Amino acid sequence: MGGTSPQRGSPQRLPHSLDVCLAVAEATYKEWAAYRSHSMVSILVGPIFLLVQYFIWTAVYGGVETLGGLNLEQMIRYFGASSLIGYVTMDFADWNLQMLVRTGKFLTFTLRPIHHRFFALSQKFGHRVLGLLVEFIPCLIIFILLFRIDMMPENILITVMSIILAFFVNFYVNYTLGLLGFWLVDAGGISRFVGILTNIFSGTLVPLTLFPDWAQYILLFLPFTYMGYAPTIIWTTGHFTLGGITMNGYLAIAFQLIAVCFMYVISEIFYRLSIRRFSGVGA
Amino acid sequence: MAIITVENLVKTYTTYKRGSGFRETVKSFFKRKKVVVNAVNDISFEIPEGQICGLLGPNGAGKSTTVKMLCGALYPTSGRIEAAGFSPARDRRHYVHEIGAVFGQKSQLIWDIPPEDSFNLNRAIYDIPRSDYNERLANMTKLLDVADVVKKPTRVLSLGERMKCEFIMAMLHAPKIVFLDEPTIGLDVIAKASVREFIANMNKQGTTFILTTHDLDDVCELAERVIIINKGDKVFDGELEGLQHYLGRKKIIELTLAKPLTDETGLNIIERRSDLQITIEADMERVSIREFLQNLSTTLKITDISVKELPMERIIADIYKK
Amino acid sequence: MNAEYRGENTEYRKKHTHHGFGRVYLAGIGASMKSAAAYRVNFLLMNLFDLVWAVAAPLVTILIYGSGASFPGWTFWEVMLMQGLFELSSALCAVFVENIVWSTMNHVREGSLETVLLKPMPPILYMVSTSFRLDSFGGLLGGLVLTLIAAGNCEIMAISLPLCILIFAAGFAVNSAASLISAAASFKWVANSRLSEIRMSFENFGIYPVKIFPSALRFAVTFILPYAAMGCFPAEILLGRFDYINILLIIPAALFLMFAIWFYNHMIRLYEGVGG
Repeated sequence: MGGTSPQRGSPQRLPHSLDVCLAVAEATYKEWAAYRSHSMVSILVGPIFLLVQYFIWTAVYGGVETLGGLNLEQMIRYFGASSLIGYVTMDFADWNLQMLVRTGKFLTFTLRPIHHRFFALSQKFGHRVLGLLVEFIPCLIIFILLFRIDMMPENILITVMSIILAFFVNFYVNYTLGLLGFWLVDAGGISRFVGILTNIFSGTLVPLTLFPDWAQYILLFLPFTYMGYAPTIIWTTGHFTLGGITMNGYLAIAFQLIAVCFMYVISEIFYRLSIRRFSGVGA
Repeated sequence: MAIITVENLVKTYTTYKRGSGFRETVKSFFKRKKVVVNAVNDISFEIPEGQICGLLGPNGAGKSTTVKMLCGALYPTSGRIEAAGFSPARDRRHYVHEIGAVFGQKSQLIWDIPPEDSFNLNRAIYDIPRSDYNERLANMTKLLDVADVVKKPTRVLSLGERMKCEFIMAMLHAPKIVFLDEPTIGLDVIAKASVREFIANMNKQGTTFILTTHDLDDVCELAERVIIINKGDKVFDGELEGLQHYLGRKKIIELTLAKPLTDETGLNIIERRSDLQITIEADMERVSIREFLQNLSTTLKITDISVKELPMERIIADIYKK
Repeated sequence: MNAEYRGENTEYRKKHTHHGFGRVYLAGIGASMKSAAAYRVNFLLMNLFDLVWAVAAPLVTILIYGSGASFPGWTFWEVMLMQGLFELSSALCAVFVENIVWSTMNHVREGSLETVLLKPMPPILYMVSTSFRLDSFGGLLGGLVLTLIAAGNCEIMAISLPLCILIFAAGFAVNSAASLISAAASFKWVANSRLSEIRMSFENFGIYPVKIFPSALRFAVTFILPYAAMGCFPAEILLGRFDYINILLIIPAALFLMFAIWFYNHMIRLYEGVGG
């Protein structure tokens, strides 16, 4: 059968990788398309969220001209962009992997000639394409046509690139959290905990420029910033401001790229340790 | 030729003990007791290519640990495994192309989409050429009679239909060795028969099967050979017929009597349906059957008699208890 | 025959409800503690999570005030008081009621609801009593601490405490009713984990001063779905700036809760009809 030839097993060969990625993405898209109605909840929740933000900030801006360097119009756009970006960058990689480990189904992946992380990333592609169609686009239309918010990015190309990089940072962070499932009986708690830290420090609750200066400076070096804040602020203002530093979009996405590489390396190290543990090396 | 060779395989685990009562639970918050478990204890065997080998044992005997090591999912603590020319755990990337697995309790199909789409996923993952893929899929769907089923979402399929699709999913890449774990669990008689027929059919084409199950009918109908593992040790390895004699040559004798029993000495009564109907067990290694029946007829008035082999369930249960 | 049997069953349920409920509730708490002990790291983190979340919700306000802006008419500690009360209300719901959404969803998905229907007590009480969640205590603690600290920094009218408790209870009822409704909706909209998101998005109307909303919306969150009773109104009462006409909100709050209970029971009856 020629199965022993090493080329056949290698998922790194590009056409094959692409083939696998597309097949997995397609299957995942179909899988979640069965639950389209679940995703459509966002069409209700997203606008309610933005509506509340609108009233909060309109009240708050009564006495001031700018907050964290943003005027009222930018602040509203910031929150609109923040929830839209969430729809195309979020994932359940942590929860999913933990579930596979807990139910023992991860075993079936160790029997397939594919790196599970690559499989999970391909799944995320499929899932987020669905998010783009049933969450991102409808909400964008509501924001623009119903709420009359100017959602036009300052620089579309840089914004799109920044969102794509945020997609990867999110994935590698969540996948690494998922690997905790190999170490803890139930890693759901720690994963939720980091999830909430992410919520706070990726700028979902409030633009990071409202934090004290020292905190902003620290955040410059944490992955959270590059998971949500970077693309959101680039969408809103065209440049990136944090910790008193303002850089243009190109430099900001270079920082994001570093964050992607960093989290990739972390997840790889952790993956190897986890698989060693799973397959009982030296245990 | 042996496709799987296992030599002196050992696996030990470390786990923690947990209490149950309230005080114990509170205690276990702070302190846990370490327990070292010998899951597999120096096991050796060889499996020739094209065999169907049953791997039996009670729950927690170490058989699933053994299977995991054979699959390459678990590193042995010591000992050597060679399967299809690979060391499973070390060469996993390449080895997995040669194996398939069907776990009755761990589905590989994606719940919300038709099996056909899941199959396509494996086509990509295993890099199966389109022509091979189409041919094998057509062949297997025909064998299992699921040509229409594979187009419906997995969640609406019956358990039997789903299990058939699990087999296709596991065998599309034409693996040399297939691991089956409880492949017929929960299936009705017809579905069971059809799955067994499929296994036998694929076996004829050269696939080696390793079968772990609690369903002895699966073993009797499929396996030429059984390996029984208990408490981490291999306690039996041989042909199914050999198992019959493993516990000595015992026979089951059902008697219908003319008069109720008065003297029970020397009789190993295992069931008493009424005063006049009893079942006894006799070991033919100690007394010949002729001698035994002569003794019986002198002490008892018998109106009917039937002599049977020990049923498989009894044999296995006896081995597990040892 | 079937109808008769069901009638008897209801009688039986009625007779055995009250003392059973307490015992089952205690057993539910016990089970919750045991599973917490089994997953101890997870348990501690869950609580830490809720504690941090309790701090995170006011974070927006802290940062707003830290940047020199404010909600018109509210001092920093007054807003903290409001949000502390909101956290308390929300955490009470999380500990005692909210989990019914998940347990109902799981029962429906796994087809194990029949086992609940066989219990000799009303399904809704059984579900509530087994949905106790120990790992949301962190939020309760966080809300309590925040409320007490904030109260120490405000001028509180102690005499209005009873009214505050009444309105607070109405807010709790509204949020609990919303949980029951999402639980009941999961019978039809099977296993939709995002139903809770809709509910949580409504909670947003209880965490900020109601005056920031335009009048139509303000009316809606006062007299239609009185979410403002979760945090805003109890704080206004304690601070002596409550508009007493708003007491009337206890009527829609009670109606909403009654509707939620009826709706949940109705969905169970529908399920029984289909399943039996």
